[in-house]
Amino acid sequence: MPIKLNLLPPELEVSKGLGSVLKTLRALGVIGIVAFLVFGVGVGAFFIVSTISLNGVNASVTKLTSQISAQQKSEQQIVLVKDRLAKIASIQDSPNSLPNQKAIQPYLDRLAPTSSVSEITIDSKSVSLRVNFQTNSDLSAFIESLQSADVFKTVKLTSFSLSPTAGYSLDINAVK
Amino acid sequence: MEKAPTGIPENVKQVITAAAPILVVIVLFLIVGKFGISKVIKVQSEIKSAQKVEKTLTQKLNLLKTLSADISLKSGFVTTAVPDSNPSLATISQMKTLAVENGVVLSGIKSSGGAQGSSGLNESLVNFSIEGARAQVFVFLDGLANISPITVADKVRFSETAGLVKADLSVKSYWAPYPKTIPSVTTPIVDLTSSEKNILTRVSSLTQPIFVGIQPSGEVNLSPFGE
Repeated sequence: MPIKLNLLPPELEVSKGLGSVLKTLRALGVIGIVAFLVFGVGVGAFFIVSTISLNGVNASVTKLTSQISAQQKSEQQIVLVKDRLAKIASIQDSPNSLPNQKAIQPYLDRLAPTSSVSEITIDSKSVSLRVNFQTNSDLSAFIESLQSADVFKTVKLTSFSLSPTAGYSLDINAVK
Repeated sequence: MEKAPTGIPENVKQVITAAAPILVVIVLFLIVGKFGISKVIKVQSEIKSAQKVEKTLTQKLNLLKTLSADISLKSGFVTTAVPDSNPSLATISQMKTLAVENGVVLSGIKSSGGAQGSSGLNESLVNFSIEGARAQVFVFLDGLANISPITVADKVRFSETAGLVKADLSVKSYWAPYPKTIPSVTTPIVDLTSSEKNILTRVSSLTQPIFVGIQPSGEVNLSPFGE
């Protein structure tokens, strides 16, 4: 039967329960140190790799920046073109008499040869015109064409006169 | 229990000896965690930021290379359409050309400096009269939409006598100073949108003003004072 010898001096002896706790603590300490070393080396390595990668990206950015600086003239022209296009777009939205002119033109083209237009004022808001008709049928045809086409939302007859020699004279204000 | 010569009980001494490495490791973890990880996070965020800039610059460079081929010609069209100085002379020249082309008589040209419009554009106003047959006058008015500098008929007043129309016109041309700064290198530029391309196509088709540079005839006397 093996004999268990305890060579430790009695004052250094620890209880059995505390002994197992100490053993666990020492094991945890070793595991912790190993884990820390792995962690430290990992973080260090990652930091070095990241720094190298950052330097690479920064070098690429510097190269691209110099290439773009070499294309500065093109960039200026693009900025200029975009600026002018924005201004042209705002001009297109500004008041213009052309739509009203285009709207009234077909009616004037369809006027009977005996009829005449003595005055027209066209702006961006409305069209005002003075039309003279020799016959009642010409007058009716003109009014009917205005009514049927539905181009002008509002048509105001501002003046109407009849002369036995000149015929009918109408002052009209039309708004699209 | 027996006490160690230092006065600390042996049990406590042994616990301290066993726990010390763990405490040291915990402290080291905290230090490395606080400084090391934050450094790594900082570098990573710098990489992300630099990669974003790199992507923007690559796109910008590609766009510049693509557009630079014909942008020079396009910039010529748009700067004629809306120049950086009062375009009254070019407008009047265009009116005269248009009048000749359409067989109408142009007279009474008056130009005023104009004012700054609501959209930040400077307006130059040209008033004039044209005379001709009604159809020709209307063709002339339609032609205004097809000339450069961009010209808009503000108000038209016709009076017609025996088939001959006299029209008093007030037309506006626009001008604005060129942009004085370009965006920073890292600011992305975007390609022309479809509506901008449409406007550009339209502007490119406008009739350009013709300016003739008069060259001196014969031999030029470099010393006009005969010395």
